[in-house]
Amino acid sequence: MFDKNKLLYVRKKYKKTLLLQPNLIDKKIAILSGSTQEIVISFLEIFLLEAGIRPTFYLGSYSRYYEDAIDIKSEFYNFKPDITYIHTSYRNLQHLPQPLDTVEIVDKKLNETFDYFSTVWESISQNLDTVIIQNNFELPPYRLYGNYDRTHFTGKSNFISLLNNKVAEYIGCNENIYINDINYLSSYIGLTNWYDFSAWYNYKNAMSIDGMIITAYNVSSIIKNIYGKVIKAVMLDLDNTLWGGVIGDSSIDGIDLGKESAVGEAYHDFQTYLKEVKDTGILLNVVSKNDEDIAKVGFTHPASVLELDDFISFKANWKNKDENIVQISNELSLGVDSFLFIDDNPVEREFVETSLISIKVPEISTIENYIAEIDRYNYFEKVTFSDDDRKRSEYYKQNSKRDVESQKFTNYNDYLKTLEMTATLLPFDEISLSRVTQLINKTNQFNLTTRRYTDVEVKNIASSDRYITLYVVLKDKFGDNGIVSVVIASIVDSVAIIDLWVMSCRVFKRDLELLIMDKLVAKCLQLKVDKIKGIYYPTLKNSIVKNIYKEFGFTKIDENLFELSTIEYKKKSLVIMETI
Amino acid sequence: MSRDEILNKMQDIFRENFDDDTLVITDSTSAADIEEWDSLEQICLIETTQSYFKIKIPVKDVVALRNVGDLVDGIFSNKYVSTK
Repeated sequence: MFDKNKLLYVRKKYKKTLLLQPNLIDKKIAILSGSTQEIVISFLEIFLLEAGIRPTFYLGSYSRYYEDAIDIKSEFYNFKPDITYIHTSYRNLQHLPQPLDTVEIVDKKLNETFDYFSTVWESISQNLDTVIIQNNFELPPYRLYGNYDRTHFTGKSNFISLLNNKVAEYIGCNENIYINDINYLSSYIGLTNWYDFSAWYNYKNAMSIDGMIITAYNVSSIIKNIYGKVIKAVMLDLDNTLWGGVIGDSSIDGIDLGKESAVGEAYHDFQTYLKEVKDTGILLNVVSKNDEDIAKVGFTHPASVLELDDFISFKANWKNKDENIVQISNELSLGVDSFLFIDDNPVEREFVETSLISIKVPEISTIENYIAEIDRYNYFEKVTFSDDDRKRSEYYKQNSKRDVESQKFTNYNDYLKTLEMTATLLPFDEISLSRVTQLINKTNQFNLTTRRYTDVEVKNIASSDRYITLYVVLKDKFGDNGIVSVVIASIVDSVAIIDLWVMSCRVFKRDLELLIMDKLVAKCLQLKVDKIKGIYYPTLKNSIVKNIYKEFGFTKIDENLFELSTIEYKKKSLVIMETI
Repeated sequence: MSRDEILNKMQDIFRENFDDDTLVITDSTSAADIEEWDSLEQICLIETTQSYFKIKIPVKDVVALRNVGDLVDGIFSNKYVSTK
């Protein structure tokens, strides 16, 4: 599944080449360990570098995770990590049930074990602004009672299941802490491959090399997600990818889809999987070499789970696939690096992967394996699942309607007026926090400073009077766009500095930025702030906003800094009405 | 595979592992001779060796290894468990 060669044998050379990539983002990661972690770290470093994140590590001393977390004067607290990964495992469960224990004793052991870990989490989250990632627990290496281990109260399998449920329940209702599900990972690779007893007794490795690889990969998936390195859209081939056979050759009756045949049932299940993927907020698109009319007929097949309406962009033509994908990237205003390309044809996969280097292209073999081959890489990893995710496809659908509308107008401003836009601009509040954080961390194009913030940081800013914060909801006659822009400005000596300003690409070119600046200036005047300073740090992706401060009439102070007098500013917004 | 061939292969593994194409190892080479040779390197070396020669070295034998020569002897005499 992973390239062991790169991870172990040539890791030093490979790491050097990864470090040469441009625009790496730096993150501090602390690892509190219940076993030897050097190898997990070296794998994690590779996986993060592959995603453009350059980690600096702090490694707690061997098996001292509890002391590190409790002593707020420890090196760990001094390090101020962005991410804290607590790597514990079965090997750290000191008080497992014994055959002669009573029900009361086992119950006490369970509560004490859980309290031991929750003390660690609480001490960290009360004293540090950090995201915590916590392993849950794998099943034990032996079953004292065989199958009965799962039902008897002194069974270790039973105990670990109960403990894992408590851990999941706690983490499910707390923010900024996530599970690294090694219980799943160990069953995925199998317990016989997970445990390496020689490595435990020799080096105190809690798991085999394969176990450490998959563990590190999964931690990297969570971290990538926190910093917005996510898949937002899937590009799908049609023939032999969504159904069996070639629709252009055989017509609709000839394609293999539906429960009447083994292969057809597998395609049915794959479509069902994709529909679920779509419902989590991933945008589905078609990129197929076909005649459009013929291709579309495939979705009228009685067994088709996917409907034409499930796709945002539908490219069935005879152009090269990379061209079509670039066009979709422009239509959706999303980078190719947030795209997943799924095609049964290895030649097409290689062509697209070579042409569009940052696109993700999973290798798939035959239809019955597609789901497993895609799912194992956590492309659709989530750290939250918001209302916005649930409605995302709908938002983009509305956008294509808006595009049709805009083509009827010769004057763009006239078109904007017909959209009947209204916006609410409010300071951060409890209900907006998770979407605000998500937008901050996912936005790359309309993003002036590319600063990333954790939930805790956003919360602290929201409750401080040293900041002006705004989140913006935009509605129009086609529907509600949800929260689409966020501003954080810090106030120092009657100057407001715009630390962060992001806007979703869904609402570019709607003049929303004018209304937001009007509002920001109005807030500043209320607070007797007479100057606004704007910062622009260029990245590979945010050139769309490079002139924004100049356009607002800011004076350039230096390379990255711009200044505006709030008293001289004149209102600019004409087409959007502010509502409360 | 002759004993010399095994030693040569071990040299390749060491060079790749420490990313040093000039590294020369002999039977007497041990962790004391290579500055970077820490616990991580040790595990990577053993793992790479096990995977290349398709063997599994039991705990008692890992503990008993004093230098490269001991490891080469063990592989040459088919002392370790084969995972072929």
